[in-house]
Amino acid sequence: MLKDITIGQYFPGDSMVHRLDPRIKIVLTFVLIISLFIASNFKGYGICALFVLVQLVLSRVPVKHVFKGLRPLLIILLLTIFINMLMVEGKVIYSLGPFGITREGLMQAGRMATRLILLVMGASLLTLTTSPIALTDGIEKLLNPFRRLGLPAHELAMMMTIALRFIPTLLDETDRIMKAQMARGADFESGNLLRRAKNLVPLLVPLFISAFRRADELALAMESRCYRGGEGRTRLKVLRMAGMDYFALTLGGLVLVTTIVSRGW
Amino acid sequence: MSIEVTNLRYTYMPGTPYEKVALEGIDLKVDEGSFIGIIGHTGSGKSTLIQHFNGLLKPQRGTIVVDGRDIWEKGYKRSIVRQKVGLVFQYPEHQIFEETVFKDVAFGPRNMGLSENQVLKRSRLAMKMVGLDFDTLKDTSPFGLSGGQRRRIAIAGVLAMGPKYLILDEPTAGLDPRGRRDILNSIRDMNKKQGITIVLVSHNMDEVAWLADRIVVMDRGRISRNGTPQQVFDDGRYLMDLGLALPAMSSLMFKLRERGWDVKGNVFTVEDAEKEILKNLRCGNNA
Repeated sequence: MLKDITIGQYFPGDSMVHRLDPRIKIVLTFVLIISLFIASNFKGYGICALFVLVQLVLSRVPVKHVFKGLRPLLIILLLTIFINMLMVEGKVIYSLGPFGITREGLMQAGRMATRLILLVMGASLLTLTTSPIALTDGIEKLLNPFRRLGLPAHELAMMMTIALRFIPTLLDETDRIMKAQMARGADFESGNLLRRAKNLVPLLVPLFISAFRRADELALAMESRCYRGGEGRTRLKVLRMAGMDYFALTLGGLVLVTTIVSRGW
Repeated sequence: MSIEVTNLRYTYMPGTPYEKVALEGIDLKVDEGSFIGIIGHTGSGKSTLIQHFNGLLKPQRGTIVVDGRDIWEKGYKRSIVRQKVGLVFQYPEHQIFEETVFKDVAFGPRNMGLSENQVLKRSRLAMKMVGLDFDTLKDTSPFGLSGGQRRRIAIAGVLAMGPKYLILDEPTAGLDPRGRRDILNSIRDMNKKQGITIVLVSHNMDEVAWLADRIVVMDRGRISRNGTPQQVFDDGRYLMDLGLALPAMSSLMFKLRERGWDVKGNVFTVEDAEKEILKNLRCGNNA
């Protein structure tokens, strides 16, 4: 059933991490990414890992959900480890035909894997603890300074919001049209690839028509409520920095500085 | 021959926090040739129930027997039941996709693998049954027609498969009075002249009181009343408590009764209502 698909991976909650300003969470995610690339030894990675771990514990998101985000990464991860292990020059500790596993290669593979895992875990935590709407709000605010360079920050955010808003609606619609055509003997399940693609026409045409109609209606509804873009628009939920946000920001700064310093340890 | 539903149960998203029981312990028999109206407020399970009739949803418990055969038994071809039981969804005009009226109406029969000659014959008949002229419309684009016409074309698309049973989910929603009347008249003729069994889901009590010979009331996934319009609409209080309305005349009778008049509740036409009121006035026992 199409209805069983969940959109995004937001895990509703009321933890400290959930309540943080979305802007701060986006910034902290970037801090983590930068730190991960600055870190050069395991002490640096340790600091980043600690940072992710603290977020994970405070967010009270079940660990299972965070690891679910790692699953698609598995193949890339294995490939990275494998190639690094075999390709890096150094002291051979185990040889396998023409290839040799080197000590340096093993270290490098470990570093790469840690980097990737922490990267994805940190990013997952952001989307797990921030609702899509809050996220687009945060992105809009963060992009605002670039408006002067001609970046349509508000429009981008509005587009994202509308897209997110219509995913469940269109899924419902797809389900309905699919059933209606199946009631007329349409077959979406059998046949070879070409046949299946052709069989999708009775589904896609009505779906596109309805999407265009909805877009038209929404545009009209927005205009009748005097929507003219982001200029001078106020909002129901004003993003405001609280004590916790400054604390989190300071923590992020500390992580960044210690990682830089850790290069010399 | 009939559609027989026995002890049907259906749950949306079982095993998740969003689990919702949509149908529970449904027993219903739709006899061939009958006209059944299904009423119930939004979310009472009407749409879920009718999607079981032609095998679009698989029952989690219970059986659906169409013309003596369980449609979910091994070896039964679902395409047979899709042909026997035609299902017209809400706003069926949204499913139209072909560039000409004929191609769209012919979609169902072509999927059944009929010969081109048969397809043509059936499409022509189906269009006639919904009151549209095949020859003038067949090569026009359905998207240029009015809403009411588009809906009738969509219904013809289901009729062209030659169903014995036709299920319609609110076929008059969002139409103007004339479009409503045209569609309802066509549906009544299908039942009376062609002998097609009709199951009509509707929010309009006047429609079902006028057309159906049996009415099924659904409430929170169960069938709470099942009887003739006379039986069902006699208990006005019950339907009002469910958040449903009464046919206009029944509603009038209901209000008179509340004022102490001794009138019957199950009156649907203005003529009958007049008789009831005059009878009461002559007796002179009103307050």
